[in-house]
Amino acid sequence: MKPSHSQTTLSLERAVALLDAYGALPERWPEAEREAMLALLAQSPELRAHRNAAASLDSLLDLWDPQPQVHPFSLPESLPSQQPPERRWRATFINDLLSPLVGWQRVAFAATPIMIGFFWGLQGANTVEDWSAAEFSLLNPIPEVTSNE
Amino acid sequence: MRQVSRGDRDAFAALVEIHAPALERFATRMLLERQRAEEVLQETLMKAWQEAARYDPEKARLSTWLHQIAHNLCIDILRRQRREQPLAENAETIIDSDESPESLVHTQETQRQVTSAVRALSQRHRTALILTYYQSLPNRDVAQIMGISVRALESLLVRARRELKTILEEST
Repeated sequence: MKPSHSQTTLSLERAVALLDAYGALPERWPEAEREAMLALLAQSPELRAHRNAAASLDSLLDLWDPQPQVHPFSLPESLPSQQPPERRWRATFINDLLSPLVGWQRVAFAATPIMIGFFWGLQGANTVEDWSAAEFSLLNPIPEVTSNE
Repeated sequence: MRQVSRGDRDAFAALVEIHAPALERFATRMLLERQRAEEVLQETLMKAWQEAARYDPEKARLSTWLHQIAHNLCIDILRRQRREQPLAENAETIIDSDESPESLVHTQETQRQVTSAVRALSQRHRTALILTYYQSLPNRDVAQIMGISVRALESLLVRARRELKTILEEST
């Protein structure tokens, strides 16, 4: 069974890290850790002091509030043309390649390389016996042996 | 989104209405320049329209996908800027407020400090902070946009916030 958010436990170290990262407002904390954070705050005076310090920085940051523009954005008379949905390049490539073919032709097209490979394999690889003596001697020259006699 | 991909202009207008403000704030924070941010917004939305058929909801949420487009455009601009001129030279401090003159002066000063502190961060630190903190995107989505793991993102965030804290403490 999956633990509920309220069952999540939080270390003091993690709680301090959350305050340092997100500030003092619970709405800004990660949702999954919010309840555990509030529970820990209720228990720990040390954490509450840390939260007060975070809140004083928040109050300064909150002063920086650019208002939206006076004249709201209005849509132009004519909007540009829209692009078609994104197609996966591989699917697009295969579709473009097979576009003149239909039904069984596509199946035959896809099966051709498989059949070629199958028959090629049936023939088997060249064995040493197939090689002529001349071909063998060309690839494996016999070193000349000189005699001192 | 399916309707948008079929050329439904009304569906696209609805998408713009929902997502444009967040995307513009993101681009403004990334580029620290409103005019360029507007250009990025426009280009992001045009790309979303053109490539709507390519959006895959199984890969990313719509807002993540849109942020990813905007992020890539911002990175291109920042790279070009880095070649042409340093970011600090043309960055703006963007302020819009209805506060009283006294408190406005104080707010403006603090905003200036925060802006210059954020500006001092490296591009990756700034991106991580903006997407997570300001855009409030889930960590997995931010990691996906930046092409990094969640652990790597958290490490970037810790360093970004630590650096910001140091800069802001020094400036006050």
